Amino acid sequence: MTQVASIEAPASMDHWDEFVDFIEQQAVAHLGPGKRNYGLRLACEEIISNIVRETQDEQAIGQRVILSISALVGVANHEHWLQVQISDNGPHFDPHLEQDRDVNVGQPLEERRPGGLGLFLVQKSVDRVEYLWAPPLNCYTLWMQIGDPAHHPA
Amino acid sequence: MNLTIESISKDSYHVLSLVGDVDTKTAPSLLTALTELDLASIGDLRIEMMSVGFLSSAGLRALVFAKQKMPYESRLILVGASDDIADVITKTGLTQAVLLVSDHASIT
Repeated sequence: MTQVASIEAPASMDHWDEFVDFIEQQAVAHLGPGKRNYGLRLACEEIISNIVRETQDEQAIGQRVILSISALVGVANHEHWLQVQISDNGPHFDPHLEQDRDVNVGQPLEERRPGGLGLFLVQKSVDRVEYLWAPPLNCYTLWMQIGDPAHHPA
Repeated sequence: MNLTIESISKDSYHVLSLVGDVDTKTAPSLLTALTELDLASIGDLRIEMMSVGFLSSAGLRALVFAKQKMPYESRLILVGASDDIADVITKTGLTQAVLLVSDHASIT
């Protein structure tokens, strides 16, 4: 995979537009318009907002939490992929993305457990998403196939 | 992208007309607009989505908040939502709480 673009900025709402604009640019450039573009933007937005929210306490006491986003493209298993890596140096926070999120889709609102909607959407909106704790960084990697979305990387 | 909200009261329903994106940054303003309504006694609430390009979970939570405050028989109706937004609402099972229509004429 080859890095094609990256940004980094403090993990705060002051820089929200920079993060969102970056993701939108990469989605348009590599996925074009449409549902898959929207899915990537949705998943990234959820992860970025979680990072900003989860690191508020640290930033309030002066710890500088940096959020970095990189876009990479390349070939895996004979298919072309866009990979978006989102990392932060905030406290270790494992969202347990390997777990299937159950937001009780089929149940009436009043019977549904609160929470989990954002991470549910992350899982359902991209081809693959992974979390890795690589101290001192929380690292999220999102994969979107460029072109035919029928296959997934090993 | 920012979000502008126009609030219009009709005889038997209320309209919120949205222009922009509903994401983590802008969803609080939608929530504010919703809390300014008398949701507990409102009839139908129609939210015009024709000019909304993006809706994230923050926006969904604002909609869920509104529906939970409304009388059971009142409808929360999204008018003119894009296919992408409709897909998100369907995927999260919120079509039980939110009615999706293409235009005002479709509402009976």
